[in-house]
Amino acid sequence: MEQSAAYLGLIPLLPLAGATIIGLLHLSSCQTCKLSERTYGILACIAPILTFLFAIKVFLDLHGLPVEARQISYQAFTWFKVGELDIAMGFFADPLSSLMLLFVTFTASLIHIYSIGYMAGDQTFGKFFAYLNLFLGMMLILVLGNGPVVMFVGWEGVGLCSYLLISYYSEDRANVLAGNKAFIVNRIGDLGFVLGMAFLFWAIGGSGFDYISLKANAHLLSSTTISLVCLLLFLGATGKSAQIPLYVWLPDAMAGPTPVSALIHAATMVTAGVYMVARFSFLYSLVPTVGLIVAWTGILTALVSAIYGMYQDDIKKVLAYSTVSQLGYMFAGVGLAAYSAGIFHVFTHAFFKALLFLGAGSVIYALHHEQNIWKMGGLRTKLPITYWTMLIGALALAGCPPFSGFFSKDEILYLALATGNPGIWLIGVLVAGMTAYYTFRMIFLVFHGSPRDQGLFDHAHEAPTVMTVPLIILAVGALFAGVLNLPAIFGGGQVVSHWLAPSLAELHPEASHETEILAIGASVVAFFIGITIAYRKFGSGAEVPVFTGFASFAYHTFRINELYDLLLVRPYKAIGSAIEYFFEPQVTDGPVQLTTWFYRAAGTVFKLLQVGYVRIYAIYMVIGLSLMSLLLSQSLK
Amino acid sequence: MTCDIVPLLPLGIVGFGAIILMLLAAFEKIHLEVAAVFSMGVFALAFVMQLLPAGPDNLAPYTALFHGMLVTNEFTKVAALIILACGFFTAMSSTSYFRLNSFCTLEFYCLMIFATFGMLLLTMAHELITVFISLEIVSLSIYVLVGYNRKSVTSAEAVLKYLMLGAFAGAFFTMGAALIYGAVKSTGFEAIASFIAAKGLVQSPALLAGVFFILFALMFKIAAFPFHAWVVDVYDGASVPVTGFMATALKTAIFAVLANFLILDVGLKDFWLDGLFYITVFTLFAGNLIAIGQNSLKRMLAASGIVHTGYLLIAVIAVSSNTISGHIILFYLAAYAASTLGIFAALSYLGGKDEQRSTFDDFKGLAKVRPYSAAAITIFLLSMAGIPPTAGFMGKLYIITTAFQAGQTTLAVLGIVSSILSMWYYLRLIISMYFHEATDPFEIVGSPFAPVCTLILAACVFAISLFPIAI
Repeated sequence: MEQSAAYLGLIPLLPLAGATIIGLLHLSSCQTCKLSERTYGILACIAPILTFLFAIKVFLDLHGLPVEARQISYQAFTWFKVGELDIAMGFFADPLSSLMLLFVTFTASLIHIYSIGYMAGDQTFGKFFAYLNLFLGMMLILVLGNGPVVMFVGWEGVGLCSYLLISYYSEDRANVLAGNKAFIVNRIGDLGFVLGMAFLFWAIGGSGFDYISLKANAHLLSSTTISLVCLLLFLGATGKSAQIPLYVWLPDAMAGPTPVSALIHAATMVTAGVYMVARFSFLYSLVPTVGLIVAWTGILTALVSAIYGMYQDDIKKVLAYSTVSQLGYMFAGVGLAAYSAGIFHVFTHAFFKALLFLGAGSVIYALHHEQNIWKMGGLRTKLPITYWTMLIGALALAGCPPFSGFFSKDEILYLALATGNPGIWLIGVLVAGMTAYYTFRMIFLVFHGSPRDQGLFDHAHEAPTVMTVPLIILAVGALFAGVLNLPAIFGGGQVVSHWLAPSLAELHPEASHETEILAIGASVVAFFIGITIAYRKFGSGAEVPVFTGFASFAYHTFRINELYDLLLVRPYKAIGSAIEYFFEPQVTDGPVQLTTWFYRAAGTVFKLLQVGYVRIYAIYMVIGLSLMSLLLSQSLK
Repeated sequence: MTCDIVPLLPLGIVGFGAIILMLLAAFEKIHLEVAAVFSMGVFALAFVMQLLPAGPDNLAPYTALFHGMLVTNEFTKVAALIILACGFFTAMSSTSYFRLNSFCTLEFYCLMIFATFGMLLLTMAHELITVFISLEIVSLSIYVLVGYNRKSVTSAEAVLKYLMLGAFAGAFFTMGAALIYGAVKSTGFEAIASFIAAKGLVQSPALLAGVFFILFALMFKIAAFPFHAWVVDVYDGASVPVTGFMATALKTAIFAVLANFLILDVGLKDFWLDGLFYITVFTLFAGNLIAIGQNSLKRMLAASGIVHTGYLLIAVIAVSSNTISGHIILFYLAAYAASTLGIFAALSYLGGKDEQRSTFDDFKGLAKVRPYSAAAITIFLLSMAGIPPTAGFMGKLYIITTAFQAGQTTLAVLGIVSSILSMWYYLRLIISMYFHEATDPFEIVGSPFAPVCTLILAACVFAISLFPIAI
């Protein structure tokens, strides 16, 4: 039984309406009378907070239904109907999307509030919030869409918004290029998504192209088709969620304002890929081989980006690589058919990553847009709230036991072991250690030791309340979110996993308690090793290092960007110039010019025929009439 | 054979409104812009009335009124809505135009409402004499409107050309009606349909010739090749609001008649298919080629109107006796009306005094000075050219899809080719607006009505494209 609820349609509509209103206000007032920042700020926060309330309502409504029937949907209208392709603009909520909805709207609300403080004094304050609302609206379409096509609208929408926001400080060309890069790399992934969608439609789309029908018809597919579809969709996911080989855009995306980074990394955009794989779990669970590819891609991404993260000197880049790395864990989880574990990590990650980014924003704000961690130090006394909240976030990210990140990461690693993939588990533990190391390297360098730049240090000050309150709320979330899915070994009930169960086609591997203890033990040991090394090296001040050999190679992210440039960008540009300088002038231009010349001549003839004399026009009519009569008499015979 | 009052309400409101305005005009008691607002009110009220459900018989193919002289169904209802909306937006944008050009008097609006009255009647007419009378109500009002600017020579020239050629075509219509009456002994569409169903078209030469003449007259009104030549000169000579009104509302009304007439009997249409096929192809290409050669915007838009007639004819050809394809004709008409009226609304405040800005070159650099106006015009042009996500694109998509479904592959392909050709002159204006430096300050004086109207219509272009119709 499916319940219908029109308010589902309202959820994405609210932020979109907000974006329109703020955008129009900004457009109409930017040249003459500037509206106050307070007006924009309040207007912008209405939509996210309302959607959060609606998200709670969705959750409660679903909760009130029996477990098997936890689905509500709303069909707004038939979007288009061509041949067999009948697409409704419909929204659909089940436990999976309701969980996504809850934390997306929650973190987005906090980020909106925080932005009021962070963006204060910005020249185009209104534009920023219009984009931010649009971003949230698109993400909600993505989450609530009732089929791949509606999801694709949101999918493209968040791509567009990320472009707009990454290149928000558009006076600097580098930022615009970073936006371009994000957009273009995402397009490559989108191509995979579109192709996957097309294959899926070709195979079983005729009898309904929404999730429910697709799920019901999935058994009609041959396993080759499923594999192909899953691989293509995963290519899309690697674009949005920044996995090998398409992760290169995410570190550059730091060019945007820091709240945007928080929004992209925590609540929207990058989680889309994981969500999509979980959404299509009814397909992925049928092809374990593809799942393994996903898992290995994920864990290798985690490894590679953790290595990069250890050598970065920009506070936001450290966090960016940590996101890529954590996303790798999530894909390892969903690849191993542990969908609820993967989604649970998305959930906890949203809290602590938003927290860390907003904390980093607070540091950057305090230091007047200095982002190099080698110029910070000793800020713990100056920014106490930021310090304590970020410390909680860092502990959660590093996977310290009672914090949220520990439970979700551990769940994935345990399942890797339980499903018989010790390789993935081993790399995972290694990455856990590295995560602890680079996270605390950052914490120690920024907050401990003595100031490296006295001038910056002296002018540092704690951020206003509007920024610190979201930090504190998120810190509470980062502390306790993990408790929601406490595994049985700690006496918990795995609430989140049970909640998600009806949405996902999950396998539940059986493993002994020893395995679980081994997994937990290894993670904890890795965490302590990582943090100890970090403390030894950076705990009480360290000098700016000079990278040589491997470190330098890793600092330059294995020169992947240069490699892509050499292998892909330059050949592409070469083809482009070949077309510009050879094909177009030498080969294709002639016929094109000839055609235009022909039409121009014909146009002139017809223009001349418009002589302007009524008698001539009447003659045309008579001739036309005669010819038609002739045709008529011919057809009568 | 019920005589329900509800379907006639809009007609009554429009007619009554016109008479009241006429009386007021006789005493010159009201200001011009009050009259414009009054006519907007009349159109808006009639529009709302038109939205009312037309009674329980609505599901039948049509409900007959006045013993089958008039009929109403979903098709006529939507056609009337389009016409009323055209009237509303024309009245709205004309206020800006007449602040710059001072030849307007109160009777202008009366005539416009009378013309609308005729058009509404035309969409519902189901009998030849009714068609003729309503056609004449429309034509007479429009003749006067075209020649309204008595000081302008081109305007006088336009009205004479239109009048003479229109009389020529009107003569054919009456001749055709007489011949049909001779054959069928009735002028009702219902009777003609049953006659054809019983005896066949070919058996009666009088009927054949009669239908032939009537089609010819209607082809003249929609400016199909080779009866298109008047349209460029007349559109050029008429003032901007009148041209916009003619190009949209009149075309909608005539297409409603044409569709009503052609779907009388399946045999009737099949019989004309060959002839219509050639007319359509030539209409598409002649329109495009004429438009390519033009320098004046109004002449270009007139020529592009010929091309759109061609597209609508594709839809007419693909109309089978089921009513579904009628939706496509109406959808295309609505899309076309929104974009055309939008451009004319923009022209009515950008054209300047005495329409001094009229060629492509006059609009050079508009985007630098008036970015929003330029953006709106771009939206309208892209919609006319059929670029997604505009209404024009969806309209063309539907038409070409139906053509394929009806087996008219050649027409569908030629339709696509013609759409590519049309980019030539639509993009030309966009290039003028965006890729040149502005020399003209484009100062706007006048009421804010026309800019607002442009904005609304630009939104409509997108809104209509979202309107779902089943193919």
